Amino acid sequence: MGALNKFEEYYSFLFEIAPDAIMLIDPETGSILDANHKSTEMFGVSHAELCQLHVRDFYHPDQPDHRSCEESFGEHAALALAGIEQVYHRHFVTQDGKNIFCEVRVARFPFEKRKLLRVSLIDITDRLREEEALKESEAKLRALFNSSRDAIGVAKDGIHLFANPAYLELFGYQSSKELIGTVVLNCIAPSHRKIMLENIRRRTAKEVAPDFYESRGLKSDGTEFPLEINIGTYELHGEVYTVASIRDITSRKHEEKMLKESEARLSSFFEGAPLGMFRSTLDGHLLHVNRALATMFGYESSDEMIRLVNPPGIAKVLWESSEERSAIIEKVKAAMGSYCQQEFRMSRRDGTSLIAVISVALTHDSSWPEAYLSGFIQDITERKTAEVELLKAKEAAEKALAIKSRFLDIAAHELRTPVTVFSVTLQLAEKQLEKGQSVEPSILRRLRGQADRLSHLVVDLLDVTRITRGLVVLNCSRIDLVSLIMECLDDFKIQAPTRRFIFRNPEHSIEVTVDPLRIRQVLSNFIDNAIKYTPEDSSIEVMIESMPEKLRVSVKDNGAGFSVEQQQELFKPFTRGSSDREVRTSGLGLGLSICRGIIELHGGSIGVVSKIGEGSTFYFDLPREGIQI
Amino acid sequence: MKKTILVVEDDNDILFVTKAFLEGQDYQVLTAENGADALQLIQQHGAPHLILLDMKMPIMDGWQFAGEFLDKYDHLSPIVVMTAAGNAEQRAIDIGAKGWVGKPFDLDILLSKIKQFEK
Repeated sequence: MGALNKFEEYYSFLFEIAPDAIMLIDPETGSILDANHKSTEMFGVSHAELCQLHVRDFYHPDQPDHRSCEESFGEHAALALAGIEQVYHRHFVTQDGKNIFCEVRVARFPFEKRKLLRVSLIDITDRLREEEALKESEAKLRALFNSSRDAIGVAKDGIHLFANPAYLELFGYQSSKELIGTVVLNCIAPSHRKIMLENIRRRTAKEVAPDFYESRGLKSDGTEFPLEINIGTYELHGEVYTVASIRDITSRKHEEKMLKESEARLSSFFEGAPLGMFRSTLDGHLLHVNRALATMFGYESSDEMIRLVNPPGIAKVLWESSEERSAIIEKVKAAMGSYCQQEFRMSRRDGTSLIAVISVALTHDSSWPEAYLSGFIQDITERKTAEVELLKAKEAAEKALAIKSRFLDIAAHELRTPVTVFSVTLQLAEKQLEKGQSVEPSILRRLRGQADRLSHLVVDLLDVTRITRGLVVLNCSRIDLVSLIMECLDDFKIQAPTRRFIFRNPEHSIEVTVDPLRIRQVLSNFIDNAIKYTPEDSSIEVMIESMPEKLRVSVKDNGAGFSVEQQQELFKPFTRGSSDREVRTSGLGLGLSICRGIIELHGGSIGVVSKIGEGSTFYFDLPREGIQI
Repeated sequence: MKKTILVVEDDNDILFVTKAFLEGQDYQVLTAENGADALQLIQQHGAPHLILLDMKMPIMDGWQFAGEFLDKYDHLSPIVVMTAAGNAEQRAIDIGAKGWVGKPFDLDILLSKIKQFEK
């Protein structure tokens, strides 16, 4: 009996501490005969109260199968009594009105020859709620998964487990059957498999692996495309699963490529432009320069220019006047978005100047944190120089034209005078002859004089034309310069017997290689001028000066002299030094320009030393070594 | 009494021939090589019956001479311009001369011009 009691105590204890609510129920009436602690807890009543109650007292009227308590209990009780344990679900209402959902297990329980029912209840209200929540969540995820435009796939150990429709579509599979179970790498272009394999290995080994990267995909038809992969992993039952979200970036890649090409085009435009281009900060720190600009300022490369210019900045290095630069910055700021153009004198690296036109604008964009200057610099030095040259040439041409026109005026007068003399003299002679008178020899002499005058004019004109056109050829020989001068002076002594000539020669004979006729022409011209333009009583002095490398022959007179301005014009053609108004002279004013041409042909030079009121010394220098032909 | 003609001309040869021709035509001829000499002659000998005047001369040219002569003597002596310029007539009008001959001139035409002013 003692042992039995022990068993009873033991089972009673087990009954009491059981985690499920366990009740003994009379199958005939449905009355609760006994209940454990969990049962009282579940329904919120005391043990004594519970044992007074009936199954139907807790039965919820609204059941999943719409069956009444009697119906349901009757059926399950009968089957349980027949030895078939019943498991089903029922809603119950606790004492305080709470609805609970329980798993009900009903089994027969023979007790003291009676057939009772053991009913155990497990409250699955929370579990049900969780399951529903899970189902809902699953449905949402599924919808998301299925409707996502990103391709999403799940893999384990590099094998496809799931894939959403977008994934199938992206890789060109008709159904998930075709894909599931295949190797993930099949969807990656062969060229990118090695990297992908390494990533899979790392991820499986739980090492650090990139979770966002670009790769190349391979469609089932063999075409490749650029893709972007976002990888996540999760662990379930100790296994690592990989979730990949994949996006086709063909169009983005295309745009990137276009952008790169566009940048490359712009960059090559900037670099290759024949115009200097730059970007700088407002305070003159160079940001970019192109090759043309670097070359313009004498730098090897754009980088070198930026490196060498930057510490002091462009205002100090490139501008000749940094104030001028400040002025254009103010102008640019005031122009508000419009560009300014100005001409500056700037400095090259070697310190030489250049004239440049700068077109500059204030620019504000994302490439630099503050407003900066961008612009072009064009080197117009050559153009400017050409303009100046052109202006000079124009002035020279205008002057030449004026001189020629004045010359024509003089020439007309000079030519018409002898013609007039011929005409009127011949008319007079004719009249005298008609009257039977004789013609005086003096008239014929005058005619000859005028013929000589005309002849000289023509010779001068021919000479100046031939010298200007480089047609004069010297007929050189080795002669004694002293003798040449003396012979020339002898002729003048006959022509102008009243004049006093002085000849100063340091040596008895000086040999030179010259064209004697031409040198004599020059000397005669000098002496002739001296005679024409000096008072009768003054002497004319001719001298030879021997210098280390040259011989100087000069003719000095006591005439009126020439101003510096007049001296500059003397040796140019069609000019006459002395004013026409003061002294009566004939000739075209070509003599000295012809002389200059002759002396220059000899490799020498010609000049005058003179002062107003103090006479003049005309000279020519001949190289001692003789002329270089 | 012979009529006096003053020839003002810087070219010695033209002066010589003109003088010889006019003397042959029974004129008394005075000559001057520039305007200044001419004015001096007029001051010494009084105004001539006619002045033959070259324009381009050193020291004092025809323009200056005509200006000063007209200032002092009005049209006491008619001036006939002798010039090589193409626009001889205009030059004559410019300086208030009564007539002109273009260089080179015909001696008979010169004579007929002179005769015009004797009437």
